Amino acid sequence: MDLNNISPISDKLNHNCDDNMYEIPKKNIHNTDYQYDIPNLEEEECKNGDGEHALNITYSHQYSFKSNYQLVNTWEGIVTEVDGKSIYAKLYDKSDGTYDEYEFDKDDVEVDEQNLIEVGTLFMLHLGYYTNSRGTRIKSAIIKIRRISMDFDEEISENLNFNNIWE
Amino acid sequence: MGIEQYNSIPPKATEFEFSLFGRGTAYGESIVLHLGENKWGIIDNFINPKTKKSTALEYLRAISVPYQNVEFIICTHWHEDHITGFTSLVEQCEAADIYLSAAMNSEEHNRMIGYQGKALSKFNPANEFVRLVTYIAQSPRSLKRASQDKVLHKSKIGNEELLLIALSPNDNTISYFERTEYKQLEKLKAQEDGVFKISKPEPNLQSIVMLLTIGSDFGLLLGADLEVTTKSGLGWAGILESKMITTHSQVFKVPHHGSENGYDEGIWKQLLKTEPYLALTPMKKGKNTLLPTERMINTFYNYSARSYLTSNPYLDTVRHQNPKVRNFINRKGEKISKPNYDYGQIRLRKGFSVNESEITCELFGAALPLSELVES
Repeated sequence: MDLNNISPISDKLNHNCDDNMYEIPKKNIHNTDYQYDIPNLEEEECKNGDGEHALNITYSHQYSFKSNYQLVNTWEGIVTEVDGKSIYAKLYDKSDGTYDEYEFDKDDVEVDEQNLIEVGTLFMLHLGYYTNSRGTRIKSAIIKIRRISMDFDEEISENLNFNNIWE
Repeated sequence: MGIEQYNSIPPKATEFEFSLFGRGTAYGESIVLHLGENKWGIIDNFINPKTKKSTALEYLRAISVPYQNVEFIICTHWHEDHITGFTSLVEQCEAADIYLSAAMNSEEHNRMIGYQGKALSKFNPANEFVRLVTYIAQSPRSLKRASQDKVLHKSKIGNEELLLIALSPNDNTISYFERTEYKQLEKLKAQEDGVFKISKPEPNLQSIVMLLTIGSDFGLLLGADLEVTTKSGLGWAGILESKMITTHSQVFKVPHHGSENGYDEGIWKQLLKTEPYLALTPMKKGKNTLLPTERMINTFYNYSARSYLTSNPYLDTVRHQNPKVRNFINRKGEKISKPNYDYGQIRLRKGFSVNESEITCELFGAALPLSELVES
């Protein structure tokens, strides 16, 4: 994969994601066939028909897979259990705001990434179809493990300290 | 759709109500209390998986209760399954007092949120905390601290007094979290440029456990997710330090989804009457974590046959709703599954008067008696 093609993560959100991706199950796909941009995560206010509202985290579509990749769905995931080689995760389905359960194998993860898999690991999961140079359509799952920087936000902390939010 | 079409008969003005809503897989639990004369309280927030609305508010709407009749909203502890959508709940109940655990109010905690709150993730509970703080900072409202022996609500219906008392966190717990978070901050400063993992926080130990009493005869113990721990003076052992436990309870919201780490027979016997009503929300996490376990199901049932769950944690998952995803995943080797969304309500009601000691118990939606899961 050409690392120069990867868009920088949004400065505003300070996400440090890795630049690796892999498929589950492993297929004979060359990574250079993909171009993958890191998604932006944004907060937005959603109002429903009853005037009730809730703030949700949404994922704006900034993916730019090559034309030979057809994205089916994207989830944000968190590892909930590691049982030997079996990994279980909870997925947040951004398309309908519900949760799914996901089971995968540690061997499906790139060797360099396996040490990052533990309870609490965050990742993005993309399911889609990849069409190879022979025109064969292949199912593909891409996982990108999220690394989150711990930059301090003085504003948040000051709000807590000085705005008399506590009685 | 919610389950409101089945439960839409409101309580009488002189009738107390405890309703527990829950779905153990990923969505959590919420409690609604009728305090008499159409005054209400809500503890924690649980989003209906189908409508994405607060089940507590859906229920109040179904029984025609205006949201301004909610006198208080309490968040027992800051875990995803109790706080998702909490800010929205607070915004809609404009007249309600808002209580959080006093163990969440320290300079160290504020600084930790300063670090964690920026990392946007559906699974980062600090995001919801920042939302709440942002709303409170812009409104005339404020957060109240709940700590051991503090009276959170007091009212009088007829001759009977209703009291809601916090039994936790105690002073030991508050100090423990200040120390823990101070150490985390020191670690963060020391490794500013390196890879750093925050150790697992323990919000369950911050839980606000509450005792609701009506007169001298009725007690309802609300166990939140508090655990039994070997840490001195913390967890359920700390509850026994309370000076405000004046009655044994005949209704108990079982702590921490019926987990073994929420159970101590000795402590239960000091706090509960014989054959109490036990109400709990199950929990399914990963493949192997399923609460309550078979062993605990039998333990609870042996403790009291009047035990109820908001849903059956052993029910299978359902087909994925997105047809594209459904086509993608192979049904036989399916790795992505949709949890069963059905949730339930356990509703207990009783008159406030001393002469009305009888408790009625009704189950709605996916709620069921524990006896259905007990091995014969």
